[in-house]
Amino acid sequence: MLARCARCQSTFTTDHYGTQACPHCSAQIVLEDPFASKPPASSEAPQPSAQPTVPDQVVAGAPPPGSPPASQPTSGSPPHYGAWGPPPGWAPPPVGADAPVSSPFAQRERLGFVNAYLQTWKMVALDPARFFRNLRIDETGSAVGFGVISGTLGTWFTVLFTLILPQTSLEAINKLLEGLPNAAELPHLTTGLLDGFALGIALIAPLSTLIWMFLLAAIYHLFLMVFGGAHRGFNATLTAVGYARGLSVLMAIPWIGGIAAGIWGLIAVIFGLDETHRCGMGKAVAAGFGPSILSCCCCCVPGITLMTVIMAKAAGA
Amino acid sequence: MRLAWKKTARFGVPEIFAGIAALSFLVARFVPVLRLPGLCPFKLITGLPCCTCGMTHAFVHLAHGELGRAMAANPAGCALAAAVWLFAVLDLARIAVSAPLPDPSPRAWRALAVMGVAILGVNWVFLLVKGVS
Repeated sequence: MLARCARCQSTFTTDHYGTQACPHCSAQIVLEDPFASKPPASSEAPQPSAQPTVPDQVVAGAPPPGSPPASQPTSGSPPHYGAWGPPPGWAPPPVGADAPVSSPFAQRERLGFVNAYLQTWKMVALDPARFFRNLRIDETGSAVGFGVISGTLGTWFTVLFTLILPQTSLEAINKLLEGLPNAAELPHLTTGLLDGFALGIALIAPLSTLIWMFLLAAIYHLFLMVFGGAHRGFNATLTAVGYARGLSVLMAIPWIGGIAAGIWGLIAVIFGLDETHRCGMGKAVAAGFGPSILSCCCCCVPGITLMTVIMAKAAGA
Repeated sequence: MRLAWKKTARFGVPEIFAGIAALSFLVARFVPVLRLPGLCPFKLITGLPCCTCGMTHAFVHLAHGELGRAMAANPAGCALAAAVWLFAVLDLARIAVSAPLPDPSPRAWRALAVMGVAILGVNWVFLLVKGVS
């Protein structure tokens, strides 16, 4: 069954009732067994409201009696539940449209690997807002796996294109680079030099994609915290980044693939951060462009400028 | 401000970041990364350093115990390298003794994040001034 923590509002899977720790915030919570006979209510410590539960339904956990109160998340404007637990009259959301769901890739054993991958990719690419809206954020392994597979495939395609790049194209790029202010720092590009780099990059692609994904998620999360939008913890950010990384396979398209993957991926990340954190589009956009300011003022802006110069030269020729 | 502590799984997200930090030390110490050509597109186009320019030099110099050269290359990078390597060591020790993980409040996290971004901004000004002069 699915359970929802009363402290951090995250959902997780559990197979038993009773006292247990939330896997997201480690708060001790109690899932009351609806089929067990109820003990007589104590007059001193009122019990949290019992949650009607059935198997496979989302149930809310309450802290054990006598446990110290924990602070509520202060960012954003969450509803005030007091020290612990939901307000009187609160009931768990019904199973249906709003219940958290697993991505197709998380259900790959049931759907088949390729089918699950393609379904997930299609949803991330074409309807990211709906995909991320009710996505479970406690299945980060699937999100990271999806991102690593896609990022590795994208890198391998890029390497392949580099390896088949003819020497004449390299000479043209060398000529263009010579006109830049710090061109002296650049090596003269040759097929031998690029081949060595490319093969090295291809070998470490899975590891580098994994590391880059975690670092990118950390930077997004940092900016979300700065803007007060990190409502649901790092796992939500990692889930958004992992699935959005799936668009890296667009790098299989020659020439424009890298730019398309970058821009489309950024859009998917912004929708992902908005929906997984419920932080609002403004904060998601601000956080989404944070790493762009940090790293893409190093990469994207000059990259686009360089591309414009190349296209202008090509048009002139 | 009272710091809370929480029990976590033996291997989780903090340990992945600790692993990345440890790997960054090994690469900075034993791989000749400075022999690779510098390729910051921002510097290439504008002639000015970006906010993370010199980070690789800072990591490599600090990994070789050259604090002065690391600070000169990128002060924020030097501080970041020291912080992440210290985190890796502390996390390893924490796992060894099964100690809980510090759990700062959201307010404290946000203050740290704002401070980090502000330090990066000041660092960029330093690099620009240094690069121009």
